[in-house]
Amino acid sequence: MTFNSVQFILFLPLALLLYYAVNANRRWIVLLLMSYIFYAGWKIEYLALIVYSTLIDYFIAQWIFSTSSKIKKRWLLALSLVSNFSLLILFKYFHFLIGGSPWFKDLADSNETMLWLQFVFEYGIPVGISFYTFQTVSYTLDVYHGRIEPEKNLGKFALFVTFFPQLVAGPIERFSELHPQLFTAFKPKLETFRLAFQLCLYGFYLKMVIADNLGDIISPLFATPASYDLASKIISAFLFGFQIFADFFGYTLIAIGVAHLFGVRLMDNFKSPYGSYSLREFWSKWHISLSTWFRDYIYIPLGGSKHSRNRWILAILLTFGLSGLWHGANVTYIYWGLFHGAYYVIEQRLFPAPPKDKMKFTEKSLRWISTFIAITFGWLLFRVSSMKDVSVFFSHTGDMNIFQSNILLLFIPIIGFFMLEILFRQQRIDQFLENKSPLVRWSIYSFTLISILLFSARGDMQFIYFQF
Amino acid sequence: MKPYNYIASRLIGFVLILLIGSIIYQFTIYPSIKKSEGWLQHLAERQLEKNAEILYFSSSTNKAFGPTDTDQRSIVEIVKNSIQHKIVSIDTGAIHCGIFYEILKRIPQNQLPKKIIIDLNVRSFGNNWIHSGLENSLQRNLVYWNAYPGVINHLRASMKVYNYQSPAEHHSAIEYGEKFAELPFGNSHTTIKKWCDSLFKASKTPEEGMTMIRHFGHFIDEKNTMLRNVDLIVEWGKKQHIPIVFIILPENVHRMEFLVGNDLRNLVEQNADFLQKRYSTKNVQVINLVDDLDETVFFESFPTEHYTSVGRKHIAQKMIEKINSKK
Repeated sequence: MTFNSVQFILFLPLALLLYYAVNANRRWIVLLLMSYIFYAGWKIEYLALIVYSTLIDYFIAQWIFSTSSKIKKRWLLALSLVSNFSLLILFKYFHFLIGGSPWFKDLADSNETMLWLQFVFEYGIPVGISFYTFQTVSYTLDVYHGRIEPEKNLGKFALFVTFFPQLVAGPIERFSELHPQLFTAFKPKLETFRLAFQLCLYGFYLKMVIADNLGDIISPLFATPASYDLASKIISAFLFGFQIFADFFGYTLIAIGVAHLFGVRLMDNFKSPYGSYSLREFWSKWHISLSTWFRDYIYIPLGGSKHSRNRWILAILLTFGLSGLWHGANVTYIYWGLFHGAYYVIEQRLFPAPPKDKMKFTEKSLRWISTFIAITFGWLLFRVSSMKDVSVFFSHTGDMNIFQSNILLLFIPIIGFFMLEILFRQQRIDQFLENKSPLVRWSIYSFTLISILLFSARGDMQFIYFQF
Repeated sequence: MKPYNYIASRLIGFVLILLIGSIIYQFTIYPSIKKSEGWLQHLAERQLEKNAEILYFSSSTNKAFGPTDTDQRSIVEIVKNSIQHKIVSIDTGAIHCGIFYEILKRIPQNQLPKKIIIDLNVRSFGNNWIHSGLENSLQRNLVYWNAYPGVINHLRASMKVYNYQSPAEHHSAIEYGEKFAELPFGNSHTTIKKWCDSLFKASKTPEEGMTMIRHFGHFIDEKNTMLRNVDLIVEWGKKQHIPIVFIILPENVHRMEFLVGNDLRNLVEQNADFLQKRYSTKNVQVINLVDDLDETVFFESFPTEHYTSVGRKHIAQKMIEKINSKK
């Protein structure tokens, strides 16, 4: 069940009703039950995977904590990592690594069981598997490093893994941040509902009006790039940058808003990333929960910037490459990650950005433009189906253009989006609306609500990050 | 302000915004959206307004394909000139019995025809058609065919409150069928995948044959989901006391035999026989034309049920005979 579905609109009030109806110290049980129902709403068979992941990390973390032997701890950690990542590899990367190879095809053709296994693993990526795997892995690693104590109650730990507002596409929360909030007595106030409303309304607007309409406009071009003129292609690459931002930011705002209703403050995942003056700044503002995960659990253990220059370059490239691979089982994602890694290295070595207040307007402009163009080129790698499509994108041009159909009307809400983002000045909508007059608040509510009613897209677009 | 008053005043505010938005939408944007998204309703209403005695449900097969065809008339146009009764058709690409039933349900009582003729296309009972990517567009079309305010229809469409399947679901349903749906053969052709694989190994140009297998290599039995739609049509006809005639369309069985061998031809004929027997026993008239035409009357670019004027005339002739017969 996606956030922008009737099922969810019925599910949420029911979940809230049940949550507030029971005694405060038992609310977590309702939340756990509703989280499992929410997840089963996608495909009931996927529940087995999340339960498996929960059990593995629950027991291994207990053992790691209770043993004093460092070697034993290390072996247990390895067992957890192998269990979690083998599940991820099987269900997400099976076709990419094994299933698509000729030798496996031959094996599957001659063996019914292998054919069946191939179908199971290629059945469709279980929703949110990359997100909850990373969340549980961070838990076990934190227990291993002695940063946290493991949760003794299996049910309470299961809620940390499955908390439904952030289950399928993050933010990827740390145990120390999320877990205590789930069990703190919480009494909702009017402010809670207002904040949730503001975040959800703007989130739905970003997803249903901006992202989905942009998706409808540019998807035909990415399906057959050779048929379109160069201007359309370049514009589409930029528009995809806004589509993916509106899609994922919209989802995150809804997740944060819904979590608020259950007394949980999820971390911010975006802070106006397209206003960045360097790639380094971009990665501190884009998908923050994932980039900090990679920083803390991959980049720093690899040595970070504390060793030689070559080792630092290697750590950067490996971190970005793995981040690319995390996004999907396609070589294009790896190239996307490596491109970011290479650009990051060049930028940091040759043109490190000075503090913002020391930059002049010209330098700021040049840095902003070059960063934005680099990010957009990266999105092109991210969006195409294969590397061959990148060359087709630039070498073959047709005479179709994306503005052939009557889409100009859609530019009203899209321009509205840019104006709102400029108006918000890098703040979240709720922060911006705080202390604003009722006239300003209601003007923004009316604009977003009417836009959702009148301009939401009708095409086939789903949340982009759900596939990861 | 007390919390209840606070909430109530906000709720009233939002209802007002909704109402204003709804009215603006209904009279400004919605008519053009309904025109583009609700084309099925327009097509059906335009045809039903003609108050014909016979309603013919077909798909793209009704029409001529290609400028080289000497006679560009559709099947229904050929029929029209040879019968005493007024006949109109409702036809568009990728349509099937599920949509025909939805249209039938929506026909006003004063526009009900006296007879309904419906094309049954053996291909439409296969996974490739049932899980076609075009299905979402047809289903979304039906969302707009009601008297609800435009805003409601728009939200239903954008929130996918219809029989929606994501591209991944379409893909996995087709793949599952190809790999695991068993075919009634004792040889190696027990699934579509195995059949295609064996053809791939045996033939230098297997593509067309593999396409044929993918589209026709299915075994229609009582569990087939498309059958339920056909049953609903039959029940509707009985309830309205309107006779229904099914035409099982000719397929390019000679080409299938040439490309793939006897098995596929036999399977297609077996499926057509199954449909004929099943609906004949339900007192529905069924004209089975599945192997009536030779290879030359099928369009090369559409190797299956798309015909030259010779083919269309043959189907039209069979329809004329049925309409003119006293039965």
